[in-house]
This record gives sequence, C-alpha cells and structure tokens, in this order.
Amino acid sequence: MYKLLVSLFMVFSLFIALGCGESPKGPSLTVEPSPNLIAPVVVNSTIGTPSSITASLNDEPPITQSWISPGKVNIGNYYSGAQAEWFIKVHNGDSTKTKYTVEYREPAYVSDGFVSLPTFNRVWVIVSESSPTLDPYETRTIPITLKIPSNAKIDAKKWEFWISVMEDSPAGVIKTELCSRWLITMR
Amino acid sequence: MGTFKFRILSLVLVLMSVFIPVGSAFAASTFDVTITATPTFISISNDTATWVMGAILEGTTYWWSSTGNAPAEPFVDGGMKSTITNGSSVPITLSIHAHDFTGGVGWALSNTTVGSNIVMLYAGNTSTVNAAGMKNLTDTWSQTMATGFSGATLKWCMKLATGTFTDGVGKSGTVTVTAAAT
Repeated sequence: MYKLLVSLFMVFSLFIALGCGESPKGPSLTVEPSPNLIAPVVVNSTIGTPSSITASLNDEPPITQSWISPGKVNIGNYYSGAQAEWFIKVHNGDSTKTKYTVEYREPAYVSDGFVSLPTFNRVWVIVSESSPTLDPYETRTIPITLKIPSNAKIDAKKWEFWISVMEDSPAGVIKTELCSRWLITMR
Repeated sequence: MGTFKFRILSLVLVLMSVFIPVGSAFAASTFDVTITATPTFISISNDTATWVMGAILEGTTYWWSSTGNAPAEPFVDGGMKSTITNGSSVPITLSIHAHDFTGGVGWALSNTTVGSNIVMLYAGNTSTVNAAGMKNLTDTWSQTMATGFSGATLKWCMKLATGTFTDGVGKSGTVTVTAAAT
C-alpha cells in the first residue's frame, strides 16, 4: 500500500512539474543578449539586476576621454505596470574628481516610427545615482529603472526617451552632454 | 534492504519533483519584457569652454571665431574657434542649444529679432555655407550641427547679435553641445 501511495505521489508530482513549465505567469524580465552585449546578464524577476560585468569592451575610448555606454538601449514588450532595469556606464576621463548629473531628458530627435511622449512623467525613470562624483579615470555603472504605473495610459506603440550625462559646471560656460537613447516598444 | 532503497529513491524523486516546478516557473513566455543593448560608446569633448566678451555695445554683432571677426565663407577649419573631438564608437548626431542669459534683467534668446534685452545667438561649423546658414540657438529646441558624424573632429564658431540694454549688469549664458547615437 505504501509503495502504491508513493508511486502515485511521484506520478502526480511529475505532472505538476511538467505543467508548470508551460503555465502562464506574471510579468517578468528577460534579456536577449546581442552578439556584442556589454555584460552578460541573467535575470529572473520583474527587476533585472546585472549579475556580472565581465566582458571586455571593444572600441573603448582612451582612459583620458570621458564617455558613456551604451549609446542605445532597446526595450521590447513593455507595458504599463512593468519594470525594466538596465544600466549606463559613465567614465570620467579627467585627472580630477568630477561630479556628474545623470537624468531623464526629452529626446532631441527620435528614430523612425518612434515618438517622444508628451505625457511622459520623468519620475517614471529612476536613476539610482543622479549626482555621482567619479574619481579620476573611474568608470561607474549606474542602474536605470523604467517603471510606469499600471494605470498610466501610453498611447504610442513606439516611443523614446534619453538619459543625459553632463559634468556639473557653473553657468556661463560651454558644456558637453552625452546621451544614451532608450527606445521602447510596447507589447 | 529493498524497501530501504525504494524509500531513498522515492525521497529523491519527490525532492526532484518539488524543485523542477520552481525552475520551470521562470521559463520565458511571449509576454516577457526584453532588453537589448550593444557596447557602443558616446564620447565627445570640446576644447574651448568659455567666451569672455568683456564690455559690449548695443546693436552690434560679435564673433567667437579664430580671429574674432566673421570667418571666410564657406566656413573652413581655420576660421573656427573651438574643436569638438569625437571618440564615439558609432556615428553620432551633434546638436546644440543655449539658455537665456542671466544677470540683472537678463537677456532672452530669440529666433526672430533682437530687441530690448533680447539677443540672437548663432552657431556654425566647418562646411557651413555662410553666416546666414548658421543655426539660431534658443532655449526652446536643439539645433543639429551634424548627423551621422563619425569624424575625429568638428570645428565650430558662434556669433552674438545684441539688442538694447536696460542695465549694465554682467550677463552669463550657457551653451550645451549634445552627442547621441544617430
């Protein structure tokens, strides 16, 4: 009798296991690495966090040059209520400590088929470090989270926003601004 | 002994059946949000960060060029004032915008005409055909300097047309050159 019960339980468990592999589930985030992905990332929840940053970067500018990376981030199958996280790398090419401002920015232009959302609320973009001070030649990885409330109505299928990185400097000077373009495709 | 082995085997299978569903729950579905990014670098620097004008007159045009005067047309490298160095790994679009001048009553930037405390600021770069082809800068929108740019450097200049003033307080304005992937 005991053997029969155990056998039935095992068969039942096996069915459950197979069933869960195909079952629908709540929102989650996965990463589809492109051939030149900056860093291999594996995430398994609604909040993606880079698990490692190990890849060497081709075409990296000289250490004495300030840069940001990546230039473009594509988010697909997005929807109100979902949360997507990626990161931006900021490199300080100066020989002195430098304070930067990292923030949401309206696009100066958009890709074909994309629009700039006039109703976009900048609080939907969360910059984990908006005023980082970088040591000389330091490269900092700064997570950026896109989190739009589930009740927010997004009319456009494809839209774009930018992340701006700019050195803090007094008014009255000529500044340079480096921008990362984030292109969103709604599901 | 046989019963003991069967129980051990049963226990292992039961434990497997418990863990397999946990792993499968994270399998991809067609509703997953996806993120892709490639290791492109955006990098520019500008070698001349200030334009100190000193005392200036009403109704006058001032040049930020290599000579302080209007450069020869069409604009060439030698006539420009500043150099943008591009270290980006992909073609970029360079755009430029400015903010109203502050200090005292301030000066507003206009795209139509100069006036009382209203000035017009322009930017041009190598290959700009002539002074009339320079881009008018305001704090409302960005002007494109170059699209799909992958050169090592771009040289540029500015000019300021003043209106009339209602105070003699010093002014300062900010110009921002922006680089983003094309």
